[in-house]
This record gives sequence, structure tokens and C-alpha cells, in this order.
Amino acid sequence: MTIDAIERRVEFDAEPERVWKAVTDGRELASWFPDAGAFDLAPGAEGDFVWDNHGTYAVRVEAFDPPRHVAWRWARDAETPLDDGPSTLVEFTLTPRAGGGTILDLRESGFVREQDRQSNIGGWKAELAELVDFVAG
Amino acid sequence: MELVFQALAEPTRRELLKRLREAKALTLSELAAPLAMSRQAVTKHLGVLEAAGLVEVEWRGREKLHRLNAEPLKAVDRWLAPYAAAWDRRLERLRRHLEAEDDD
Repeated sequence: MTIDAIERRVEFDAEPERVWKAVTDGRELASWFPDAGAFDLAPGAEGDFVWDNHGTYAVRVEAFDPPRHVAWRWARDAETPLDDGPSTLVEFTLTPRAGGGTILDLRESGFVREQDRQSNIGGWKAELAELVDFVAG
Repeated sequence: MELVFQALAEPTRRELLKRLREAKALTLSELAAPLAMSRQAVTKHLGVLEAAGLVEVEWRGREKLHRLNAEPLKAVDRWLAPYAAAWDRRLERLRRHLEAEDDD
């Protein structure tokens, strides 16, 4: 457990190539995630995820390694350019499941405001994780 | 919670928290001894941690003891909970999307 990230693991019967398409193809994305529009994710691609009720969110692809790993940054606030406000990094990592199917690891990180971690020395998340374990323990 | 994030953003303060986690209660001298900085500097860091609610002080006789209070970290965890719930809903929709296609 880390303090400023959300992590989820889910498994699908579908093969990684199929899941990859669902998490990177604009039309596919729009059928389960942004209800009013997305774009095809590709290396360095920029675009918007659009929701009818929540507005338009700027997105930029930061890593693209089919069919294993895609990472994109999105603005926390609607109608705000990515570099003008806080953003978080969303990562999907796909792993083939033994015997068929896919393990999907979702991670969204960076909720701590950038200006609050000016001294982002390696390993501090591990230290925080220890602290959180201490709280839980 | 902003105070908590600010407090955690600085390596010396994380080191102080780590030592308090291991030692339960320490005096300023004990906290300052292994650090290459003045007692005043350590006092300032402890003040930031105290303001964020991460450190509590207690007088025992003439000694001022510092303890870790991890409670504010739980607030951070609760703050993230709605974001996590949103992903649970999205991933469930992704599952239905993938399964719906199986039926075609």
C-alpha cells in the first residue's frame, strides 16, 4: 500500500491483445470509460476524454508498449490544459494469465500535488508505505 | 491534509517520522544526534510535523518527548477512497464490455 496511489488488480478471460484494444482504442474506451468520447492512444498522443456530466479532461500518453503497458496523464480538473493544473498518472499493465486470460494491474498515482514534493528523493514512497503499514498494524 | 503532504515532502522530516515510528518516544537531543544539523533546524522540522498533527509532544518531568501520531495518514487514505471507487466502477464496466463481446 502506498500513500498517494490507487492500485487495483482484476482478471479477465479475454486475452491480453483483446484487453489491450479495449484500453487503448478510442471507440472501445468510449464504450466503458469516458461516455462521450475518447481518442486512440498512441506514443505521445494527446487528446480528451469527455463525459456528458463531468466535462472534458485533457489526456497525454506517456508510455505505450503493446500489449503490455500503457500510461497516460490526465488533468484533475475539467476544461483545464494538462500543464496548467494538477494531474495524475494512470497506468494499465497487462500480464497473460496462465491457462488463458489477462491480469490487469491498474495504478493511478500522483495525487500529492507536484509542488508539495519538490524534494522527491528516491525511496520516499517506500518510507510512506511503511508508515501506512504502521497505521494499519 | 495539505499540511500533511507538505510535512511528508521533506526528507529530514520523513527520517524523523521513521525514527519515531521505531522508537515510540524521543527527546529533541535523541532526534537531533544522528542528523548533521543544528538543534534549531530539527526543532523547526518538528514544528512542521506537529502542525500537521503527525507528531505529538508530551512533557515528562523536564523532558519533552516526541511521539508519532499516524492518524492524519488515515485521512489521506480516506481522501483517496472516492477515486478508488470510481476505478472499481470503471473496471466493472470494462469487464462487462469484454464479456458482451464474447456473446456476439
